[in-house]
Amino acid sequence: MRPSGKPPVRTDLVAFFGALSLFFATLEYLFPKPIPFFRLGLSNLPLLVSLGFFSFREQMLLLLLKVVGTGIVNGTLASHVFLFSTGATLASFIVMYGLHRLVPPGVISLTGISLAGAVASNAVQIALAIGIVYGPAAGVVAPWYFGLGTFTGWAMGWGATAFLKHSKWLGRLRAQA
Amino acid sequence: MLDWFFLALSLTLTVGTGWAVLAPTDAPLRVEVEDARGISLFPLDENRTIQARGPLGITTVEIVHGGVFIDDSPCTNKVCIAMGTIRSTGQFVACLPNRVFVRITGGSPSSEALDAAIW
Repeated sequence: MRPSGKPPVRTDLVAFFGALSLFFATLEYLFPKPIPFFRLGLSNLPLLVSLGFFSFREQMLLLLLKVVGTGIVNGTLASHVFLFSTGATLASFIVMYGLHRLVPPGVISLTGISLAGAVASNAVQIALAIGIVYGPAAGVVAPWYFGLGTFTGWAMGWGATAFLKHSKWLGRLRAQA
Repeated sequence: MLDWFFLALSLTLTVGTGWAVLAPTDAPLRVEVEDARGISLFPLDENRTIQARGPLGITTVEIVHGGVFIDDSPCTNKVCIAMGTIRSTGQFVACLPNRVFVRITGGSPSSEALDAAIW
């Protein structure tokens, strides 16, 4: 008999969203990269759409699957790229989760949350690049990261909103939550 | 709506960091190469081949006729080579896996650089 209290973690559903995240991470290879290591953030889409119906523990598990999974798939698990990926994903998640929980939906939309996550992600990546891995010269990528991040953050938020609006499958999941 | 706040924040960071990188100076145009040995400076108007050292090996940087490009690098994806030639202040090419940064500093941003920023 399960003790009462916290609801159980829906591992099958989290695993499915983790797999989606890995799939999207692989899809990113289809797009040319104007600057090294810049990501569109497609793999953040599952994180973004699941904000509404995953618990904090489920979100953290999904985050772990995304970071470690993409590190294994891309072959970057034992490199400094993994540090960038982990820092950026963690920062954007904290910002997106905090905004989603603390700010009423009428004040900020999913597009705004996505944009805020992109800003946090890019700021942390640039800070890590300058402070730990590469040194001051890495600052030259900052305007590119923030500029392209504005566009991709907005686009990902718009995509997640459209998906949430039209997907019956997601609608059922949200109703069950 | 907070959406507009974050949009404004993101655009402000883009413009602010862009200004910091592209701000005009009186210094002559030069090529700044940062590798495992530190930062080295070279004039942009003298042809030369630079062997930048990184954890993966040697990245070959060429300065030819006022342009700079990465000719060869031991990285996997070769994004640094695909970045092509840079010619104006504020532009950069980088091999992140090999931790080599090359950028042009000094002088004023040219109209070509502004076009690149808009793209």
